[in-house]
Amino acid sequence: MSARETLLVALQDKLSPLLPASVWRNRKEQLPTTPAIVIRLESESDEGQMLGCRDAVLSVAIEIYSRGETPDQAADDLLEGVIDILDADSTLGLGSDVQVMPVRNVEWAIDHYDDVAVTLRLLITYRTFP
Amino acid sequence: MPFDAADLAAFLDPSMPGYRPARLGEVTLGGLYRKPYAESFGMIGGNSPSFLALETDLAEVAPGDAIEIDGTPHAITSVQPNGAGLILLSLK
Repeated sequence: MSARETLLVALQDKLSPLLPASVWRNRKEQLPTTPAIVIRLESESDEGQMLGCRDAVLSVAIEIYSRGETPDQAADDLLEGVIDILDADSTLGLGSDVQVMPVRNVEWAIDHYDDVAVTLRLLITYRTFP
Repeated sequence: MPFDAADLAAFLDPSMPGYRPARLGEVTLGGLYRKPYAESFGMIGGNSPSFLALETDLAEVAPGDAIEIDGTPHAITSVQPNGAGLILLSLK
């Protein structure tokens, strides 16, 4: 398993208690239920190997889908829950070679009156020793 | 040539597919109810109900009003006159 995959599995495990059985990875199929969380891999960059290690920055989008009369409100508790989990352990339980960076970007999209997709973008740095 | 009352009544005849009685406040009126599948973000399944009725029956409706069709309460999200005597209500 790649370091990247290990990291994404850890992220999914961390968020799963928020919505047991409804935290998905890179899902494009119709969601069986809402609310739901989808962890989407966006990109990765690194600056090459130096002094025996390689630092990479992984961009991950955590999408929260929900439905409510005031759609953004319907997703708010989940968004807060995700942020609380990441703040509580920014290493995702993987040690000091992994760090969820403090920079965040959040976007809200509303569709079909009551449905909301909240996208929380994170940067996660991780170090490997090739 | 504009539609006359008989034409409009034919569009909304109770024998038409989708014809349903609806309750708007204390008033009961007839119209054509549609509830096609709709999706949000390509991932959340749902439907997009609408109700087509006579403009004369819906003269006072406004977005946000409640309407009950087949015992199911809906909220009106938009009021779309067609300019020919009918109004299409988008519902949720």
